[in-house]
Amino acid sequence: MARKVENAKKYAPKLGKKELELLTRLSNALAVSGDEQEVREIVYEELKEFEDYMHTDAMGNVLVKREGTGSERVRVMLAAHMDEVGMMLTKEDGDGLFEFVVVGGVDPRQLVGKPVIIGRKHVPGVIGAKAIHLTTKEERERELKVDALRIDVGLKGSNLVEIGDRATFATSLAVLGPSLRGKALDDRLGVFNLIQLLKNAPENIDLLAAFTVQEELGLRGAKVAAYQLDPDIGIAMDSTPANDLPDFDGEENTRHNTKLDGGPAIYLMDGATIGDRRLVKWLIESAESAKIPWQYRQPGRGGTDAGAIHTSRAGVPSVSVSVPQRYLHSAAGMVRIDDVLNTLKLMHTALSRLDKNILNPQERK
Amino acid sequence: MIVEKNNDLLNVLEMLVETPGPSGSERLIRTKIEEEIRDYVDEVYTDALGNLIARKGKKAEGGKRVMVSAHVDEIGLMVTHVDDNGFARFIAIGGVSPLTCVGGRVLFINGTPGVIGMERLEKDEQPSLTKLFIDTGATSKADSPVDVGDVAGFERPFMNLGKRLVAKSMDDRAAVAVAIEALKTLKETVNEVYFVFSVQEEVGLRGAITAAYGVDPDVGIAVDVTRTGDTPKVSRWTFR
Repeated sequence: MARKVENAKKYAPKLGKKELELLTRLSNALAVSGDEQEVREIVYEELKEFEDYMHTDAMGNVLVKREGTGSERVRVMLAAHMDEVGMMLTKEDGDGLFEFVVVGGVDPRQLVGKPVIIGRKHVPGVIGAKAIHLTTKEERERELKVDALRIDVGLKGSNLVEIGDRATFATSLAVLGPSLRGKALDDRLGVFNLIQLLKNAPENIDLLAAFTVQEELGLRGAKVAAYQLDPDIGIAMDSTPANDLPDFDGEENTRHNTKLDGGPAIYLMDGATIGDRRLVKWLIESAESAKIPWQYRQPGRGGTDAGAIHTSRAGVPSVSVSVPQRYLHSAAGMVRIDDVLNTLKLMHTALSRLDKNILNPQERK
Repeated sequence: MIVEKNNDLLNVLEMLVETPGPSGSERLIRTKIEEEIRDYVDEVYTDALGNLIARKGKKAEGGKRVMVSAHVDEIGLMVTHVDDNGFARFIAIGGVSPLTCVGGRVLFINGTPGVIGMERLEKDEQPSLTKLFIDTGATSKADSPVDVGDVAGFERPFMNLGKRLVAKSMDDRAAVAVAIEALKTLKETVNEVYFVFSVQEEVGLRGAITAAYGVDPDVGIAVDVTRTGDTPKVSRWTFR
């Protein structure tokens, strides 16, 4: 069963007090792959009005269906992953110290010295390292491997955490003028935008929303979500690195991936998906018609939930759209508010003009 | 020797290898194959990812549904950036060796020809794709005939060397030619045979995944090519 869209109105995305509060809660939440409960709860709370049309599947994906009203509606799956990269406690060493492993793609060089939070209770801790006073020159030049690091929760903290608890960086979302700085913006921005799209769904489509789990471990949630939803087309809403700083030697930066302020990044090809060119064209035309800035995400490696969606069942034409972000998968990423809102605007504009012609076989590449 | 015996097969193979079709851009090659097989099958359709699927026969008592799969896509290149001087940077579609790229010629799906050049390397440095660029003859970003996302195949014409044939994309067009020939000559049996001309094999067998779900066969046969070990100083593991 799916809730029908009624009185869809003109929609102008904004980041007001209410929206910023939601985004802050999403970014600050701890939802490392495999334990997405905290974000799942926020999604349920935000979408209370659709409670009868949503459910949590066996893996933990939250699936929401909003039916449109026209005839010949395209069934569109939109996916945003709830999980973030982080850490998991694996062994207690005593003295409040815990061994841990990294969950998902985290550069070990990013870990040392960072404050973290652990488990559902957000117990504070720190990934400690020897003080500079006591290190030798050789030690400072050597990279510290994960198995040499410990999370220190203090003696009292060790009663509050247990093996298997997830941990993430203790970063609070901050507004820095036109920018946001926070952790887990990959992919809480997608979760945020998908919530907004559900609340303001265009009536010409069936919107099949999937708040997915375990994306960072290999698109695992999206795989079963796509099977369940069985859509006509699939779109992953994610975040992708912006490597847009100038080259050190003054040469042209030919490998920026994306640039901040460039608008939503539309994918042609990544390591997991070759974007359906009909969908790429539709997104670009939608952006240009509404004068929304957009950019290509440079063809390259990596992957989004589209990788799992497009090979679901007998195939689902799919594409990805990402918000450009600096310093992805670290303690603090940086995005432009305008890029977030323009991504939302592009998605809403594009979905509002979507019909079955999108799958015209003559247009297939 | 098949080359002398079967001119039709040879002609089909030449047509196949001369048609570009990097993974994700299989439109041209799919169309050509469809024209070639249409009159010999009971049903032919294209699925959501672009696999061309042809059925011959109907499953009868004691029969099986058989899926024969040969991939139509080939490795290629996709433009990632066009710089201020008009040089196009690219990444590989599938497994492309930088060694076979240097100095090579390419043909874009949009018809633009180009040649691959290389930055100056340090002493003993091996070429990598990030050091290579395609020169399309453009002099600036503005007059470049290609843009980010444009796809190119390699330009390596078909050669008949008598006992051997040479061309790009023999992987997997040689097998596609075999599948087409089998399809044409297959007699009616109790089996229902689906010939799948699959897409995106070179980037992770993606077309075959969805085609297999759609066809739901009892038996699957992949027809592909593999390396040989009979050339000078080759590693021996492939050929015994």
